Amino acid sequence: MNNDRWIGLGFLILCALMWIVIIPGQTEGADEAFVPRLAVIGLAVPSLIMLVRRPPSVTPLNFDPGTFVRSTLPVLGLFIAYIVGVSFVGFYVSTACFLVLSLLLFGERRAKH
Amino acid sequence: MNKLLSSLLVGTLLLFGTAPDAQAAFPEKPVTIVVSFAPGGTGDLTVRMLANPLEKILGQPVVIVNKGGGAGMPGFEYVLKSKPDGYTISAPGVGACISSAMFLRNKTYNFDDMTLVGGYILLDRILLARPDKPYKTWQEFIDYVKAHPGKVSVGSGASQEATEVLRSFALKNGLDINFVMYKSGGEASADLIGGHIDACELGVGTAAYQAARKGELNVLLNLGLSDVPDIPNVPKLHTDLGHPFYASLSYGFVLPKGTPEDIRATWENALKQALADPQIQQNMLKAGLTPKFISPAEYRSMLDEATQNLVKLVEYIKTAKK
Amino acid sequence: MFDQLMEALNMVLQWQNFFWALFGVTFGIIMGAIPGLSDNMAIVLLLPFTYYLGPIPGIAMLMGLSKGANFGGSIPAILFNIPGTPQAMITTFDGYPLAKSGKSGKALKTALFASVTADTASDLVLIFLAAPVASVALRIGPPEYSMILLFSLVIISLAASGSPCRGLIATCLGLLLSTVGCDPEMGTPRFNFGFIELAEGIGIMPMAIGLLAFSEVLLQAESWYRDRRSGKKLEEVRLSTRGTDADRLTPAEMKQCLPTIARSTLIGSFVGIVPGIGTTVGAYLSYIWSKKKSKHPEMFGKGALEGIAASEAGNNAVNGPNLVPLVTLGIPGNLAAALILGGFMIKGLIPGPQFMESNAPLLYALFIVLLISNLYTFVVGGAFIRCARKLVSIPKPVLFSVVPMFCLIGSYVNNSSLFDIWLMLVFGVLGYALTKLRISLPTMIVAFFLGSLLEHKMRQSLLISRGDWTVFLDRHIACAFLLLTVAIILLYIVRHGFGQKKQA
Repeated sequence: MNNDRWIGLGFLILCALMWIVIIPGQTEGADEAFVPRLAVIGLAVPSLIMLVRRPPSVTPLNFDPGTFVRSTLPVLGLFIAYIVGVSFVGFYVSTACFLVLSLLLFGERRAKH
Repeated sequence: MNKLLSSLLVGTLLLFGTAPDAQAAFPEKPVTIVVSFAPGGTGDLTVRMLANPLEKILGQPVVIVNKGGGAGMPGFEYVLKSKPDGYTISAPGVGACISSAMFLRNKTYNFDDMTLVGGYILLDRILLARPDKPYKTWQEFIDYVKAHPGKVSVGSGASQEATEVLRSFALKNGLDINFVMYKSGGEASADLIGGHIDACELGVGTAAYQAARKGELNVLLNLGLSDVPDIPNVPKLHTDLGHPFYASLSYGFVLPKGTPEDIRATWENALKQALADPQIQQNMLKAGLTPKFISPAEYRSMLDEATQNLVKLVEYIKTAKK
Repeated sequence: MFDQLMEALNMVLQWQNFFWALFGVTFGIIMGAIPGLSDNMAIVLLLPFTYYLGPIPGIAMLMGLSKGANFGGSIPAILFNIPGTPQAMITTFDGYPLAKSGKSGKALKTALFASVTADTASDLVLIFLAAPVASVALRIGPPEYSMILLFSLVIISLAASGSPCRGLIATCLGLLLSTVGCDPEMGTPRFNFGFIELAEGIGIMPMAIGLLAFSEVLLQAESWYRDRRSGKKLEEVRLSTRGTDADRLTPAEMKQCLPTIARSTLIGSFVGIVPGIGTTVGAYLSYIWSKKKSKHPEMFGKGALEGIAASEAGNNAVNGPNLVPLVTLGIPGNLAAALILGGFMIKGLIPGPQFMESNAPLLYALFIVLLISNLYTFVVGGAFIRCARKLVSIPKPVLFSVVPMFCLIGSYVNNSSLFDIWLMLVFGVLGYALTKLRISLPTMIVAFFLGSLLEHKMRQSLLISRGDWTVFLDRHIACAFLLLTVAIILLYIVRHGFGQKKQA
């Protein structure tokens, strides 16, 4: 399936989730839910179109799971550790550790010349 | 490069030692006032005004930290969870949170879970209208609403509580009013002055109130308990007109539960002295606020009453709407 | 009038004013230039100073911060594709491609030129047109306001580059996010998921920092890693050689940008006068209109000087007029204005409708200081541009480490809240995902700003009119904007059909 179709499907599922579960769960009353529901409809219509139509051009999705796991996830993981560090150990120590580790992380990735 | 970094790291770790605790006169180091609102608001402003004299009286720097958001509750509750050593204190305190807790969480605060230092301002909500309207007094306004059901709009400067008080009055007396909520007093003032709403409830100290002082707006009603500075002859909803509910806010200083009494007393005296400062009195009065020291006992009873008032108000509206 | 002016000059001609204005501009540029930190954060950090100094030096510093930061944000936007402030996000569209083609000097200088010119022009709007503009602004009630917002919202969702489907998705996502918080009317929580920190809505700063700065770091780190691995040489930003045309902004080019700057100043001023809309919307709307009016719209997004000029002029032009409601009515339009109000009140000066008359010398003094600050921005900004060239040689690992740190600081500082940091992270990941899906972040962010205001104002309109929807037709200004909106939608459909928008 083409990327567009996946995207459309994904958003449609999100819309369904919102309409059926989240909106009734987190709002009280028709007035309050009006704009959210309107926005969900606004999301659903283009998603449907994207799901159904013939894709205009095949642009590859710029996403490589391998690279993601090897580079982006560690960065995220380190940052999460940083935030946790700040809440338990304090700002200065965590920042110092984070900066050092982050530099190492990127340095390590450097191919040996 | 790595050596530099590792020595930096070690140095930072060493810095992270705990200072030895010493038992001496409070305060020994800078104190932090946690303001539970974003900078620029009335609450924040009053605390900053008081910071100067407080610094001189306490003899230590006073650091103000804004912990806004969450309708004032996270900032306030942060202080409640802090160490009860007097170095972290909440202002403007719990008064503003009573309303938020009620409407957002359906809960009330238990005032035994905190240490009250004292109050310093009582803020009333007042109802204002343009002078070119056909009603110049509260009674005329009521008559006008009765004659034009569903056509009169009353705005609110972001006080859910005041709106509900007015709503309760409307329900009780069969008035058909359109209540319109605004996100801030400034926004509401602009629409009032621009004539987009017929009347608006706002706090004392807002731009519209200043305009009223100069006679550019009429004050129809005082929803609170004290007198409106500089504007005489304003009927009070609760005290004069006998309506069971009122909208009045108290600003005060609150410490976490378990703060030693002598520390609490130091803060109380400091507050009392700061409020007596003539410069403070003058500046606050100019801003339209009435600074007055409220003893902890009185503050407590005010807060208890305010909570009761709110609980009954919400109950009343629920039943009256059916 | 003349002696008031003289008195004003007396007040201004004290070293403190000049010093603090300069300090404000410099600090503002620095804060603006660091992604993750922003003008609002600079203001919050220096708050104690603002109150401690007198009204004129304090306000000089505050406004200097705003002016400086509005320009400063464009520096990393151009050099790294990471906006230093949310409003600089639009500058990345044309700034970064220009920098990659070796014209970083030209790009930076265009940004400075546009920023300072627009700032000065809009300050003049404030000075000379405050009173008449204020009375017009007062006529804008909830119905007018909501139609203006609706109009803007439709414009940005239609103008989003890429497929209209994605544009609509971006807009609706922004709208959805704007509904988080509490119900505008009843005060009950909505989409809070139990987090009381969300009671006032999603914090703009954590969201913007996450979506724009943090996600960009994730994206760049990923491509850096991939290119290192595959040995491919990445497209790097090349320093423009000193003294060449690539580094300079020629007078001819300046002249070419002037109509764009004029238009953007107009839009920015209008956005500024209507309180609560903000610099990012000003920048985006200016960009869209300039693209439409340009003789070479296809260059936009690839390195058009006018693109940079539009964005920077659009965001700088907002701050001066933001003071109009403050100065004429005592009503603040943004954070800086609110703090200025506070600064006045602490000293016992009460802004309000009569403030202009009774305190004319003070206000004139203020205006003079504002104009002088623009000069400072020009000079200090120019100096920073010279240093900024060095920034390009920062090794990427350092950038990828230091920017997240600033993102953490920047999201924490507003409410001293750890929750905001986590929020920023969530939006960082979201921004990463949305960019991969090619869904426009600026559209989403601007839809967020406009959406919450729009719902709020529409609900107010309907409450006032008691549910009568014809209120939008009865009031002239509101009706006009509504018709404009419908016209734009129809025009769009006629020109592009329902299908894929033709790529220019």
